[in-house]
Amino acid sequence: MVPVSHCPGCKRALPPAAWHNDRQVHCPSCDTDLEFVAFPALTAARFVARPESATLGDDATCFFHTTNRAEAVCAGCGRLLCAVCAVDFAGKCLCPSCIAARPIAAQPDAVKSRLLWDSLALSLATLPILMWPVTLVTAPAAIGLAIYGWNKPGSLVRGSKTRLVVAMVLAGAQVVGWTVGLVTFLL
Amino acid sequence: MARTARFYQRLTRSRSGIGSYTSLWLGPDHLLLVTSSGYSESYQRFYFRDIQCLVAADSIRYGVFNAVFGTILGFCGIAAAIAASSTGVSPWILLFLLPALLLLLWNLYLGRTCKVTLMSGVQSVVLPPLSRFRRTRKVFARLVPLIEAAQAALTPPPLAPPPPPAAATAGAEPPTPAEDAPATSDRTDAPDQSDRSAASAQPAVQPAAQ
Repeated sequence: MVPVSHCPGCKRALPPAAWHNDRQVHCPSCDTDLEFVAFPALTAARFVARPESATLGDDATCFFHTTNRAEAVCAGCGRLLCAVCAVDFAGKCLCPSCIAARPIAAQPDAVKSRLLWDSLALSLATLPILMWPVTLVTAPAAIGLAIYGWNKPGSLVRGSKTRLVVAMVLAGAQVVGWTVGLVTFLL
Repeated sequence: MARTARFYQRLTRSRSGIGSYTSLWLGPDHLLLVTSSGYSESYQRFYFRDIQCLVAADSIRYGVFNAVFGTILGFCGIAAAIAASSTGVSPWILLFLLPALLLLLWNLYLGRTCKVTLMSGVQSVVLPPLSRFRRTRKVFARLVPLIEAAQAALTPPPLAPPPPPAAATAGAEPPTPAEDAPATSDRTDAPDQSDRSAASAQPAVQPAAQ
C-alpha cells in the first residue's frame, strides 16, 4: 500500500518506482528521503452522519430536527438527538447546545489559547529593574497583576504557580526598597 | 490547575522559532502542539483517531550547521596555528574557536535533522519540535501504539487463512472447471471453503447444469 501519492515537501507526485518499501521513499523532485508511518485512518472510509427520516407517527424525533428520527440521547440535557446532532465530545454524546454551554475553562481539551498571567507578572517584576526608577510604578503593578491572575486559568501544560510567587516576592522586595528609601529620604 | 498539569505529558522540549517557541505534549486521546510567545499560548490538537500519516523528511539543516561551524573552526584553527608559531595563541581566537567546537560537537551528537509532517483527512501540519531523527523515532515509538489502538476499529479484519493445498490430500488432482462450478451455481448444499479439501477427494460433483 502506498501511503500518499504526493511529497509533503514539494507537493509533487511520487512515482511508484521511488518507493523503497511501504515506509521509505526518495522524492526525485526535491531530492529528499522521506519516512512514512501510515495508520488505518488513511484507507478507512470517511464517516458521514446520515440521519434517518421519521416515517411512522410514533417514531421519536430529534429535538432540533423534527423530521429526523432520534438515534441518541444527549448525556448533558437528555434531549433526543438525530445522527447529525449527536456529537461525540470528550468521551460523551452531547448536543451542540450542551457543548456550547460547557465552560471552556473546565475542559482542557477544548481550550484554544491562554494568556499567561504568571509570565506577564514575572516580566513586569524583573525587566524594569534594568531601568530601576520605573520600578516605582511597575512593582505595585506586578503585585496587582499577580493577585489578579492568581485564580485565572494558566498554561495547560505548566500547572504550577511558581512564577506568580516569584513575581510577588520580587515586586514586594522592590516596594519595600522604595518605601525604605523614601522614608529615609524624608526623615 | 493541578488537574490540567497531569492532563498532558511532555513529549519534546521547547524549540524556539522566530518570536515563538513550540513544544509537543501527549494527551489522553490526542497530541497537543503548543505555540508560545512567552505571554500567551495557543494550542493545536490532533486526535489519534484522525491522524492518517506521519512523515519524517530529511532536512539540510544538519549539513548546513556542520558546514558553518566547521568553517569557523577551520579558520580559527588556522589562525591559532599561525599565531602559535609566532606570538602565541590569542584569547580572541579561543573566544571563537571553543564555541564553534562545542556547537559542532553538539550538532554531531544530536544527529540528523528532519522535518515531520502530520497528515489528517483535512490538514497537513508541520511539527517543529520534532527536528531531529533521534528524538522523532523516540516520539514515534511512543505515539504509534497509541494511534493504532485508537484506530483499532478501523483496521480491516485479517484475511482468512488459505485453504490447505489440494496436493496435500491423497490422490487429489488440480480442480477442474466442473469442480468450481458449484461455487457459482444455485446449489445450496455446495461444500464451503473449509470442506473443499474433503470434497476434492471425492468423485467430481456433476454440475447443476447437467
